[in-house]
Amino acid sequence: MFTSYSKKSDEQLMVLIQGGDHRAFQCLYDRFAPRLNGFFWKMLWSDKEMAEDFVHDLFAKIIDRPDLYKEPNIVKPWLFQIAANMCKNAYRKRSFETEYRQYLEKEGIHISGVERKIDEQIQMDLLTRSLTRMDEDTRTIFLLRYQQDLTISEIALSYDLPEGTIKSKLFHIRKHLSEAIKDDIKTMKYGA
Amino acid sequence: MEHDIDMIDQLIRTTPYNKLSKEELEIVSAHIGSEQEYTGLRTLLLAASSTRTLEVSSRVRSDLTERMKAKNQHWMVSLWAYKTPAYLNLAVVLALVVLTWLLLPAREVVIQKPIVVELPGKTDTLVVVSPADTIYIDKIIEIKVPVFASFDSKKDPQPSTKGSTLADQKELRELLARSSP
Repeated sequence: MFTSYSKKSDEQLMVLIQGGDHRAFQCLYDRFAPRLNGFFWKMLWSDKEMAEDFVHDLFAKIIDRPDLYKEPNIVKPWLFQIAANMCKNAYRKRSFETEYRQYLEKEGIHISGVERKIDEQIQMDLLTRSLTRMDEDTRTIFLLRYQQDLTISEIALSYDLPEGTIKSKLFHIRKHLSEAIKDDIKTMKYGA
Repeated sequence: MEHDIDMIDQLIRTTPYNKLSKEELEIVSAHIGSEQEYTGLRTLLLAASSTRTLEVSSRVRSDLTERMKAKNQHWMVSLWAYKTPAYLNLAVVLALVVLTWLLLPAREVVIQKPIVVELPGKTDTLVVVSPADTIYIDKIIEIKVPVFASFDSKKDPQPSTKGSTLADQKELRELLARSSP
């Protein structure tokens, strides 16, 4: 009872939240809000305000329906599963995919030429460009794995798929990225 | 394929191409490709990793905490702290006033009439003091009136009214009265 909240596991905190403990909620929020915000940010057009709104909505959902969490489940993949579903809904509602692609084309996001060094901006350009090439599911898995460092088993839990399927998806994502980078090198002389 | 996923990802994120061992180079060339592809992929994964967290404004946290507290407080407290729009509050207050006016028994209207009370008559003494403005000086006039008395031993003396007017008689009486002790 008197154990510090910070020492409790995510699952213990979630049980406390179900009991109406607002301190447990704050602790869980502090653990995951920045990560979920980063995830939403990259998933939703790098729009900070929209990302924050989604973080707010996700945690509001936890407050309103804490019973959605079933105790033996792991909290982290469950949260990211909710986040991924929210993004899917956002894409459907607002034809986000098209809008995102049009935006990138209009803004002229590009990979810098041979004379530029690989700096943070280039990295971001490359990341943004790669994300636009991915479909919705691939982008989600990519970000869960390489942005949020979720393990394969956690991603499998998020998607309710076998681990083998996730591994296969990751393998293809990496292969696809590798080929895309090869194409970039050919067309834009990247990395010279 | 499957067992290499974690290892290759770890390798890409931690080791630059020029620091790879011979064995690692073989794995990279088998699964990824050339140095440029490896470096490009590494750049991409590091970029993704660098956006892992993004601070959320404190407003979101405080708002959610309030929501959490509000949801889980005792129903009496939540009833007490229930928020309603101002126009609704005003409407409720007006409705209560009207209902109170209509439902409460009508109060008697007190009309004050002037009451005439007949008090028993009472006589009192009223002393009016006013400064004297007229001085009367009494004037005493002494008149010596000779009185002749004659006695007739034979005849009973009869009061004679001959030669005496009523005014003389009055004056005489007054004189007699004044001279009496």
